Amino acid sequence: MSSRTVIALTVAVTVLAGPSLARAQAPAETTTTSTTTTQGGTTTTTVETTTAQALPPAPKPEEQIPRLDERTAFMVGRNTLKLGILAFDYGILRQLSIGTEPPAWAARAVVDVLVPNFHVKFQFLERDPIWLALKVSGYYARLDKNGVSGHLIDVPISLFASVKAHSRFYLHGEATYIFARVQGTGDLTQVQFNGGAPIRAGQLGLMLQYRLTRIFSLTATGRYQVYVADIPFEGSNQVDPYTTATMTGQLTPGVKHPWEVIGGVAVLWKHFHMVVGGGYGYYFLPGLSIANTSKTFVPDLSLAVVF
Amino acid sequence: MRVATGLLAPAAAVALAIGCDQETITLPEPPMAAETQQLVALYDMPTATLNVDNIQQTAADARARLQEIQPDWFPAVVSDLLTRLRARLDDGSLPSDPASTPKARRAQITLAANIHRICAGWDDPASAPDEATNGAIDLTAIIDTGQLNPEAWATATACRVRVPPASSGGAIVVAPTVRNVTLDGTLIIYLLAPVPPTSADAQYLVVFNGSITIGDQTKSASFDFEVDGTSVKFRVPAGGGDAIVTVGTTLGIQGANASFSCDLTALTCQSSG
Repeated sequence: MSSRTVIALTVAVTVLAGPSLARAQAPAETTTTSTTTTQGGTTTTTVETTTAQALPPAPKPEEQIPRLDERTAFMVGRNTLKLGILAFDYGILRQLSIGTEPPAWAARAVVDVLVPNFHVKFQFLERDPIWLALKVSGYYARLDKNGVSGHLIDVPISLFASVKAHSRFYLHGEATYIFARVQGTGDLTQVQFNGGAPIRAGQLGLMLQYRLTRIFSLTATGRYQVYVADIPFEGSNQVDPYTTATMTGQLTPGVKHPWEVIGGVAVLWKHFHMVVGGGYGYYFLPGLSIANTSKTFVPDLSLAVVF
Repeated sequence: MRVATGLLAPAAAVALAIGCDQETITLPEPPMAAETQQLVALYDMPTATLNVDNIQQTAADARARLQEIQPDWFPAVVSDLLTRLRARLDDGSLPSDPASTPKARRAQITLAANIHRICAGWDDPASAPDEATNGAIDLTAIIDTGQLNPEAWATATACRVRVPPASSGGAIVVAPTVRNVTLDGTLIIYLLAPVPPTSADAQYLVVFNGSITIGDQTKSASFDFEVDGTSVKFRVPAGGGDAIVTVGTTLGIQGANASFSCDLTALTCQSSG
C-alpha cells in the first residue's frame, strides 16, 4: 500500500467516523510517522500510523464536588448507600433514592411509640444551574396507651429546588406540606405528643450554601411554618356503668408559625459528610418537621458515611 | 437569584393556598349566658331592701320557695353530675378550673364535653342501668382555647331519682322520707369554683326550668339556687329587689341593707347585721 493510500484511508476514517466516535468515546490521539528509504534507486516511503485511545473522560471539576443532598434537590447518586444519623438512603438510580430516618425509629425511647417510616426522593429536573426534586415520606405510629387504640399516619411532601447562582454559591429552597391523620378509638386527647403534632402544616425552608473549597462550605438555613391547621378529634369513653363521656373538639398548636435560623458548615468528603451548625428559634424535629413549642438554641448536626 | 425567586414564589403560594381550607370547630353557645352572669352578681350583692316591716313576709316566701327547691336532694343530683364531669376532665388532663388561664405557647384544646348519665332510678338495679326506665341527664361543658367556660348546661329527661338514694342503706326504712322523684327540664350550671371532685367541694349556681314529679304529683318549677359545699342559698323577691336566703338551722336572709336570721318554723326574725 502506498503511503498516499495509507494517509488517505487514515484521513477518511477519521473524517467519517471521527465526529461520532468523538461523541461516543473518548477523544483519540493519532500519531503518524513517515520513513523514507532509498534502495537501488527505488524510493520507499513507509507510513506508520498509531492511534492512542485515551482513558474515559474525567468528570468535569464541577461533578467531582460532593454535593449536599439533605434538604436539597441533589441526590445521593446511583448505587450509593448513605448511612447517616438523620437518614439512611440508597440511590436506586441517579435520580431516584429511597430511605428511612433513624431518629423517628429512635423516638420510641422517648415517647414509647414506634414510628416506622420510609421516604422516596425523585429528582425530576437536572438542568444546571437548576435542580428540582420531590420527596415523599411516610410515618406510621401505633397509639396504644391509656385506653386509646388508634394510629397516626404522617405524610410530609417536599419540593426541593437547588439553584447554582454562582459557581460557589447555591440556593436550596424547600416547600413542605405535612398531612397527618389520627384515627382510632378512645380518648385521643390523652395522646398529644405534648401538644405539638400538627396534622396539616405548610413549611418553607431556604438554605444558602457558599462553597469555600471543594469540600468545605458555609451554610445559612432558615425555616418557617407558614400554615398549620387545628387538629380535630372526637373521643368517647365510659366513665362508669351509668356515665358516658363524649368529647368533640380540636387542638390548636401553641405556636402557629414557628421558625428557626441556623448557621453552620458542611464538610463533604466523598465518603463522609458532616454538617454542623447552630442557631435560634423553634427546633424542628428532623424529618417529621414538627416544631418545638418554645424558642431555644437550635442544634444542627448530620453525620453520614457514603458507600 | 431571579431564577431562585421564580421557583420559590410558586411554592410559597401553594403552601399559603393550602392554608385557606382551615376548619374550625363551632362550639355550642351557653344558653342565657348574660342573664346567668347577672344572677351570679345578684347572689354576691342582693338588691332587696329589708326592714322589720317586710322581713316577716320575706321569711314566709323563703319557706315556700325552699319547699320548691328541695335542697335535700336536688343539689345532690347536680353535684353528682359535676363530679362525673370532673373525673372525665382529669382523665384527659383537661382544665377543670374556669378561673385558671391557659399557659401561653402551649397547644390549646377547644372542645365540647358531653356527659350522658343514666339516672339511678327508684330502686337499686342489680343489672346494667336501664335508660329507658330510669331516664338520663345530658350535661354539656365547653373548653374554649384552653379555658373552661364557667357555664355548663344540662337536660334532664324523665330522670328518676330516689330520695334518699336506694344505695344509702338504712335511711330508706324511714318510710315518710322516701320519695320517688322524676325530673324533666333544663339546668344551667354556673361554676363558682373548679368542677368539684366530690360533692363537698361543689360551688355553683343552678337555674332550673321544668317539672318535678314526686309520687304522682307533677309541678312546674322555675328556680335558682347556689351551692357552696353543703350550704345552699336561694333567691326570693323582696323589698323592691332580691334577697338571698341561706339554708341552715335557721334561714339567713340577706338584703342590700340588712341581714336577718329567721326561725324556719315560727318565722320570727332577728337582725343579724
